[in-house]
Amino acid sequence: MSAIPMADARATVTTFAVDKLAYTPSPPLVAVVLDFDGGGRLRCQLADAGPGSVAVGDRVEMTFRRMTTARGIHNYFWKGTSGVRGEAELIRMASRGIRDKVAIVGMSCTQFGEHWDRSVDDLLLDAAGQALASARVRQDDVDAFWLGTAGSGIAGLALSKPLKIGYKPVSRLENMCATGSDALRNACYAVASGAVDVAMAIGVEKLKDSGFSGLVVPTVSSDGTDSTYDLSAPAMFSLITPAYSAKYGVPADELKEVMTRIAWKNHRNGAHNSRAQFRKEVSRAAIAASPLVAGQLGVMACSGVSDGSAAAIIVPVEHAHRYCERPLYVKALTLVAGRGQGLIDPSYDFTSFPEVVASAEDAYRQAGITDPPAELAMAEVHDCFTPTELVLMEDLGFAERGKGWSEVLAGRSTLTATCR
Amino acid sequence: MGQLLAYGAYIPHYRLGRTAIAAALQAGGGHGWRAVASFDEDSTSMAVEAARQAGRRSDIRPLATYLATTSPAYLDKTNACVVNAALGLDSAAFAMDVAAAVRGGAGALIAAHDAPRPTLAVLSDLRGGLPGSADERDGGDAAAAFLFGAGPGIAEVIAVSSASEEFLDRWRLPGQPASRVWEDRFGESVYLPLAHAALTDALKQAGVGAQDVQHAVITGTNRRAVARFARETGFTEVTSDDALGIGNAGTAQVGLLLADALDRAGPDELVAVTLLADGATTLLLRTTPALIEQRDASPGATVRAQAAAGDDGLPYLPYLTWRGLLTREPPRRPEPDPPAAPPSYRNET
Repeated sequence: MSAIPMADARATVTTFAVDKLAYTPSPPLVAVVLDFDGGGRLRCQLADAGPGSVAVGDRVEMTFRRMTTARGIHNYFWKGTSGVRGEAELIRMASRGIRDKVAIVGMSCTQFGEHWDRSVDDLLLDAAGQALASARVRQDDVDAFWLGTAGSGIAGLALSKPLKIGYKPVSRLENMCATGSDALRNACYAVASGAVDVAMAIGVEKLKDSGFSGLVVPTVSSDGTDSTYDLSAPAMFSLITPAYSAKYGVPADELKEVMTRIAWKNHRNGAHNSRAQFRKEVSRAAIAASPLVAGQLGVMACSGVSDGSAAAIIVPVEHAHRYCERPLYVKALTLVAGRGQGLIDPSYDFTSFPEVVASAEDAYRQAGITDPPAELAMAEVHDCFTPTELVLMEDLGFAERGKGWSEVLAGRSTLTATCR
Repeated sequence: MGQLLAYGAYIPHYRLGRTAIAAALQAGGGHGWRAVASFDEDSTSMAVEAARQAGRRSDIRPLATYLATTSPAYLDKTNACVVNAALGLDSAAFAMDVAAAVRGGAGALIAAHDAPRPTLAVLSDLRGGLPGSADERDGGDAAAAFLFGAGPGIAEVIAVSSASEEFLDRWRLPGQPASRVWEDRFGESVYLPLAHAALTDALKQAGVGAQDVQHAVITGTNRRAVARFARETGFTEVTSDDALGIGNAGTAQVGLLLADALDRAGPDELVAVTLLADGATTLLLRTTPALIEQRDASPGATVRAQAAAGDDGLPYLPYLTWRGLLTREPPRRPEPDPPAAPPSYRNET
C-alpha cells in the first residue's frame, strides 16, 4: 500500500447529509460523500456551505481546516469545498444453521419509554423475572446468560450483580443496533451445541440516562479524523435519500411522502402495542411538518430513544414441551459484519445495505424460505429512520429493487396488507 | 540569498459588512467589508492554503518554513510543523514560528530571502478587536506565502533597509483579545522620520529614485502614519489596505499587498514594500519575465479576485460566536473527543 497525496484532486458529490443534531460550532453540519476523479472516495464535511448549497453531482475540491478544538487540542484535517451498486460479495462461509434445534419457551419485555425512575438493575430484574415466570423456570436452573447492552453495562457483572447469579457464565455482548439479536443468537447456538440446557438471552438499555439527544457512539482514542463520529445517526442514514432519489428518479417531495407514510404506518402499529413507547396515531400532516433533524428527515421520521429490557429463555427443542404449550421454534439466525467500506468504495451507491442482503439470503437458506413475501406473515425490522425501512423492504426481498417506494405508496406494508 | 520563486495568497470566504456591525451595535459607521475566517479556520489552516497556492506554482520543495503570525494556534508547539505536514514535506524540512508581533511578517520575508536553502515564508493572521472597536472594523483575516531560493526566479530583492525604534504605539498582553493603542498622532510623529529614513536608504542601495518604482505598497499597525507616509513618498502608484477592501490582516497584510502587486506587475518592474510596525522596514524587488510566464501558466485566483469573491452576508452575531466573544448554548450532544497523539502520529503522512 502506498500513500498518494489527494489534496489537489477534484471530486464529485455522490450524496450528502445536512445534520442539525450533530455537535458543531456553526450548525448545521453539512457532510458529503466525495468520489474523486481517478478513483477514491471520502466522506467528509463541506466547508463554507449553507444547507441549500449542495446537490448530488456538485464538483468539489479539498481545503485544510481546523475541525475542532477539544480539551485544548486542535484537530486539523481536510474538508470539501463549492456508481454501479456494489454487490455483497458472498464469501462462502460454513453456515449450517440450527434450524429447529432450539426453541424459545419464555419471554418478557418491559414497557419502552423514558423510565426516569427505574435503573438498569430495576429493568433487568423486571425482564429476567418475567421471562423466568413465563417459562416456569427458576433462575438457578439457567445454565448460562448472554447480556446484550451497547452502553448501559460493562462485563457480565452488569447482570450477575443485580440478579445475584450464583457463579454461572455471563457474557456481555455489544454489536451496535444488532446487540439484542446477537445476544439471542449466541444463547441459541450455545444450547444447539449441547453445551448448555437452559440459556437466557437478555438485553437492556437506558439511553435516556445520558442526557444527550439521540444515540451517542462510545469512542476510542484516535487521530480525530474518523468520519464515524462527527455526524449524528439521523444524518448518516439521511445519506440514503438523495442517492435513492437520484438513482430511481423519485422527486424529493415524493420521497418525503414515502418516508411520511412509513412513519405513519409505524405509529399506527404502535398504537396497538401496549408496550410501545409511542401509542398514539399521528396524522401524515403532523409527521410531514415535524421539525427537520437531518436532510429531509423530521423528528417523526426518526425512532425515539428509549429505556427498556427484554429477555428470552431458550432450551433444546426436545425439552420445549416441559416448559410451555406453544414454543417459538428458531429457524434461522444470521449475523453479517461488513467491512465498513461504503464510505471509501466508489462502487457503493447508498441505496442498499449489502450486509442485510447477505444476512437475509443466509437466513432464508437456513430456514428453507424461497419466496419471502409469500411465506412470511410479518417482519419486524430495524426502522431507526424511515429511509432505513424503505431500503430494508428491498434488501429483504419484500419489494423489487427500486420499487420499494411505490410499494409504500400503494399501502403494501401496512398492518392489514397482504404482500402477495 | 535567494530570489522569489513563487507566491500564493488566501483570503477566506466570509465578509462582515461594517454597516452590519454598526446596525447591530447601533453605533459606529464605515462602509465596505472585512474578511472573516470561518469557525473552522485559524492562522495555521489559512497558512496551509496560501502555501498550497505557492506550491502549485513551483516545483522547488522548501527545506524550511517560517510561519509569521500574531495569533498562533498553539504556543510552545511549532505551528509551522502542521504546515509542513499538510504540504507533505518530509523531516528534512525545518519549521519555525515567527510569532507575536506584526513586524514578524517583514522579518519572515527577509529571513527567507537571506536563507541559504529554499525557504517558504508564510504570513497568516486573524485581526480583530473588542466589539465596536476600530480594530474590529478595520481588521481582516488572510494569509500569504513566499518561496525563496536559488534563481532564476520571478523577482529579485535588490534592497532591504530598516529603521527600528522602541516606543509604545500598539501593544497587547498575552491572552488578551485586543490590542491597546496610544494616541495615533504620537505614533505618527515617531513613524514618519523612520519611514523616510528606511525608504531613502533602500532607494540609495538600489541606485534608483522613488519615481522609478512602478508599484509601491505601504501598510502597518498605525493607520494614520501609513496614510500620511503614503502621501509623502513621491511614488507614482501607492497601494494600501483600502485598495483590497478586506481589512488589515496584520502580519499577513504586507504579504497580501506584495502578492497583489506581483499579480499586476509587468516584467522588469520595481516593487517597493514598506511595513510600519515598531519601526519601518522597506524591501525593493525587481520582477523578471518569468513572473509573467508563471502567472499565465498557473491556476489559482489573484488577490483581487479572492477579495471580490466570497459571501458578504455574514451577520454580526455569527462573527462574534466564531471569535469566541459570544458563548452560545451548545446542542445536547457530547463534545467531540480531541485527537490522540499516537494515532495522529501514525496516520500523518
